[in-house]
Amino acid sequence: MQALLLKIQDLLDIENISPDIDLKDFEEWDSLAMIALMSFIQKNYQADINLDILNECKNLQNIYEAIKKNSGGGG
Amino acid sequence: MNFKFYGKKISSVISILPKNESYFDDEMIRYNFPPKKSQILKELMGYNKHRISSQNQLASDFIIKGFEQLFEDKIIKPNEIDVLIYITQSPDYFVPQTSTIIQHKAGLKKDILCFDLNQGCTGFLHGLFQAFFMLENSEIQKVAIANSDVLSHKVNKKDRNSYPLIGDGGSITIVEKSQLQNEILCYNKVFGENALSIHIPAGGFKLPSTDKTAQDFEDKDGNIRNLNNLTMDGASVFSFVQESVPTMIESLLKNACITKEDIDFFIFHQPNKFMLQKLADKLTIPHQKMPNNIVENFGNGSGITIPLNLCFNFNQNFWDSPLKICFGGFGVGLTLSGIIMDIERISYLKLIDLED
Repeated sequence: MQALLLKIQDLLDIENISPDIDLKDFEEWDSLAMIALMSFIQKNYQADINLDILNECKNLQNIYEAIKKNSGGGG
Repeated sequence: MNFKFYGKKISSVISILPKNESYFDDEMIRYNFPPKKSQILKELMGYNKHRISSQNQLASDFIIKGFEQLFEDKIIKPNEIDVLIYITQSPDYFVPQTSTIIQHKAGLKKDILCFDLNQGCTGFLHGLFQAFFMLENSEIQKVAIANSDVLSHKVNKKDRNSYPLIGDGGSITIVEKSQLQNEILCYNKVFGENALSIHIPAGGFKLPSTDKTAQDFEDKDGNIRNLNNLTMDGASVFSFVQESVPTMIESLLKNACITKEDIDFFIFHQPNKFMLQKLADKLTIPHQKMPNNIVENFGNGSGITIPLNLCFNFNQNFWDSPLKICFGGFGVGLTLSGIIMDIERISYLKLIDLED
């Protein structure tokens, strides 16, 4: 999940993010950032996370969990 | 709506593009967004560069140049063209139709059937439909489908939603009867309820252009444009494409009694790379079968993206036997069109520039 962490930091333009920080605190967390993240997750984790799911994720930890749930069988 | 034809072929295609190339990185400064955000958009959508015509280049200029080249290369003689179908949404005038101006300037014969057709993204497919209908007639042997637009003149340079992807240019496709009795499956559907998802609000009779309509404003997403400019509801068009294109492909494949594995290439209109990749994934077809490199190199030139795709990605030496192609067009209207046909070797595929 290191790649995910780096990608989110890049999209939100910040150096460090902890898994429990509220994403909505960041102005950069808009629909463009979400679509870019959706694309990234599909390419790198083969998980189909749509905009509705992302909108419900409060923080990075929620996103990790959503990916685990949606990446199909095994692990 | 499903319909079919037999025994028609595409014999030549020429694409004519403005020589002027403009880069997203240079245009970024005009947008009302931090550079970092624009970079994210560029990467996501696959923007890079596009061909933009100068203010004094008309859509018809591209077609006149295209005919000049076809005649010079001895591909066809002027008096062999029985029909000129000119498809544009950027005519020289509202009145008269631009096709008669082209007839004169390109030196086409007077004994010709010639008319304008107001279509955009599905413009090439509509041109093919009309050409196929015409060629059913015993008196008609060769049809020229001309598509061209200079829509960049109607897009606000500060509109980050639309400017990066727009492209200008023209193409001419010659269609004739074929010895092979190939079956051509056609599909068309119209979604008038979403007519304004892609539109230019002012300049027609509904809302004439005035000083007021030329005043820039900022929309809810921070893009800047005025009422004389093209506006597109990206989200609405995206969901339209994702929902209705797969249904169309399924219907065409069923009528052709084949599966998608039998299709050699999906030559689709190119709104942008992102939309096409998502569509390919939804249809579960390998990305190599659906070329999607037109917007990043030339921009979305409306009706020309399909013929340009053929001229840029294919080569007359490429094919030994007929290729089974699925053409797909979707966009302004909103309109959805599709064709599955075997395409015999196209002996002339050319791409030229139009200087200022």
